[in-house]
Amino acid sequence: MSWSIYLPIAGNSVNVFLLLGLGGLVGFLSGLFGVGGGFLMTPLLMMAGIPPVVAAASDSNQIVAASTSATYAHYRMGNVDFKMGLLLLIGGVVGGTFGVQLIKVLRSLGNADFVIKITYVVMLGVVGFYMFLESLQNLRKSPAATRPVESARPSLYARAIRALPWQMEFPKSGVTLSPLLPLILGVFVGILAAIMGVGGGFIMVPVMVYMLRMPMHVVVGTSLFQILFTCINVTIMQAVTNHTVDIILAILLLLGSTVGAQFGARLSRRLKGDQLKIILASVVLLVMVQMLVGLIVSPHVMLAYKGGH
Amino acid sequence: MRAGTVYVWTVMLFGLFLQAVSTPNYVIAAGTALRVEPNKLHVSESFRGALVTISADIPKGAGAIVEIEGATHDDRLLRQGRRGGLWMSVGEVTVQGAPSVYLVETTPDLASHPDTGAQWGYEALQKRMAFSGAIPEDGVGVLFEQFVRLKESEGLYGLFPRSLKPTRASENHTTVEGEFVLPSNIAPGNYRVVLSVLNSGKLLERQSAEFSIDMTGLPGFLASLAYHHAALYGLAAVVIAIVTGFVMGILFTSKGSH
Repeated sequence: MSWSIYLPIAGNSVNVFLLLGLGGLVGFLSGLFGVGGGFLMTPLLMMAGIPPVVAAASDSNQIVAASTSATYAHYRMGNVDFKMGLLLLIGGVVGGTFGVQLIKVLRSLGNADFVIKITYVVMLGVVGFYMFLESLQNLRKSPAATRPVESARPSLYARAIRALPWQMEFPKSGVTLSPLLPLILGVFVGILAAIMGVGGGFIMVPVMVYMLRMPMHVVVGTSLFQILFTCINVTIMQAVTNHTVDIILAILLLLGSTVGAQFGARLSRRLKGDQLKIILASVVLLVMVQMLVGLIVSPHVMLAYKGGH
Repeated sequence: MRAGTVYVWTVMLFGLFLQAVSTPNYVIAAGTALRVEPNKLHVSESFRGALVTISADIPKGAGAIVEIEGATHDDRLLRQGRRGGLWMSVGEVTVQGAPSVYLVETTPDLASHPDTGAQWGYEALQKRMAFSGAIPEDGVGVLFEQFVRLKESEGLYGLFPRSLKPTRASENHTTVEGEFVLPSNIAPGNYRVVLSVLNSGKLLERQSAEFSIDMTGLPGFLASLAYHHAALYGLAAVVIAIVTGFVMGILFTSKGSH
């Protein structure tokens, strides 16, 4: 008996267990790190014979399920800062809209893809290396050494963010910040996400950790909350304008990803913040290396279909 | 215009219309018969591609070429090139006049015939196609080669010499038969089967038939919903995702609490 199923919008037949497995793997990473996993899932689906545009749109639909499942799990653990998430979301929407216009201008100038690929590799490289080294140093230090020194003078960045107006408390994250900071950072991540064509989870997580100084566990839950709304918007837009959401593909992926997300969320509770960061950094660096190889090695065919991340 | 002339034209046009609407799935001509089995394919949940058998009775001593062609449409593709030592998309290419499917089988005797290449197969196909957009410096030829390679990798294009095999022979005719494997990514629509009968590289006769592929069952319903009620479809996709996410979340939470 064959376990293949025909996907009406993708226009292809794919093995059911392959899709459940892919969903489970990416959902696990989503629950563990608070990333959507689009940067992993779309290339994997393309390898399975799904057209790039359908892979990207249906992936957004399955991320809605995985992030609902994982946000709920993190909410139960008290790891979602709704106030911070809402500010980042507003900034992300503004930045995303601006980023889409920016990419249109770059495309008309003919060098959009160069900018996209280079931004991808540089961002992944910088974020991955920084997170990896910083977490490694923290893990090597003794608990006493990692304790903050009360008398130490605050850094220039800390003084700058304290100087911003309308300081507000974010009790869930344990920080006091101006709402302008998450709004501005949301805009920045939104622009990058639009240029790179991804949800932006793997940029948002380091921004929350290093720029907003939020604890890693709250970062994961809050990032998932923000991704949920971004992907709802993307799914509806893709279904209405491009007709590229394959509901059967999305259901199979989300059956795997919602289960995977639960296991990921449970494991994230058992791991220390620095352990989480070092694993995420390794995944990010792995994707960066894979992209770099794709940029250096000659492709098998010099023509490709449009679309995808 | 005289009434008699109008009458003659009306009868002729009506005759042509009747001929067009009543084209059968096989055509029998003087010495050749072309058969396509099945002539209707249904794409349902379990569709994994299909096998189409073409058979024809051709004059003894003749050779045959069978082509399966899908409807032509514009393909918009990205050309890969090197910039600063890195491979990336360097521009968009529009391919016009390319059939969605192009599969060719020939009888053994035609496989190495010098004249067939120019009239059938990729060389002939290239003459019917046009490329525009980011054309490389080496010209359209390289682009066409890459286009064929892309389509071949999807199983939509292919040349299969010697795949039409003689199965029976009578006094005047030989029956040739070939099987075409249609991949699961073949699009619904009408497909034309063209049989060309040749003798010493010269075309003796050409016949055509059709088969159709349509989407039925759940895939047909969902595709229709996605294209005709897109907002409802998008909303349903989101609601299903949220409900599944919540149900899984609650299931796991209650399991974890025990």
